[in-house]
Amino acid sequence: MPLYSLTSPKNLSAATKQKLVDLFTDAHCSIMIAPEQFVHVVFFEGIPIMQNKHLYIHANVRLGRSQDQIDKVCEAFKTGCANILQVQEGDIHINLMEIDGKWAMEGGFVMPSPGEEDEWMEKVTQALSERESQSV
Amino acid sequence: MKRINCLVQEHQFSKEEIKEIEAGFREIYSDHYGTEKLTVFWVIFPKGSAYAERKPSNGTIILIEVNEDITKEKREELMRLYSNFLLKNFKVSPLDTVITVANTSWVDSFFAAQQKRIHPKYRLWIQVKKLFTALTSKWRNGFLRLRVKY
Repeated sequence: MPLYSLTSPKNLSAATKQKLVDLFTDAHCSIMIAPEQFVHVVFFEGIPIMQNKHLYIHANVRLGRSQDQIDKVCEAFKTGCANILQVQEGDIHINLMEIDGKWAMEGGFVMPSPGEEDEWMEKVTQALSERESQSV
Repeated sequence: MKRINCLVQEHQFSKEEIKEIEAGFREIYSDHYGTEKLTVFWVIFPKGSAYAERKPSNGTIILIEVNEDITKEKREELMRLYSNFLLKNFKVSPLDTVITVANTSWVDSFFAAQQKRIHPKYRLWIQVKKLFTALTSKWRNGFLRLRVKY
């Protein structure tokens, strides 16, 4: 979590997808203040979108972010996607669905609410570094 | 009827393994939560369609539907059971797993949004293609696979 599902009426090139992935990762991590390990971006292609939009973004993010953060991240997605796809910002649709962090488990631990990540992050970072040391 | 939605990567599991995972998921649900009819959907992402941490994903993302009145303890128990099942039987690390146990109203909104994104003119056609793919997969492979590309 977060999970960003991007639906496009056209097939997107690998390079375009990577640019979009980087955009979502950068915007989410910098505005929502979250680690990039857990930013998931998936693509659905060949689906004609409502109102003939060029991209439909379905975002599942944890409940509890401020309205300012949500506005900023949506703006960053719209501007960035329009730039990458060379379309108007109005051609991008965002549907943001919040979900209680306590309903999800990631990294082996129940997710915290926004602002309560420190303990959770410590446990997950430890698990990640243990995995990395085992794979060396 | 309750739903489980599974997002996995094409290279992760064989068709036989997917059937085994689905059977395990059903067993956990009936043994530890409820015996309501369960429909399990599989979205299997080909290479280049799913990313995590900027890189091609190894992620397994599972959404499990439950009743509104589920307790915090039961929700957490289910998350642990599903995560442990994947680790123990299929060596899927919890570090690569997202297990969400969500109330019916949230899951309804989630699936409604999937429908709403489609242009109304093509909604029926896409639905037919989706259903055809799912049923063909059920007949050929034994599980309901949903399309990523149309």
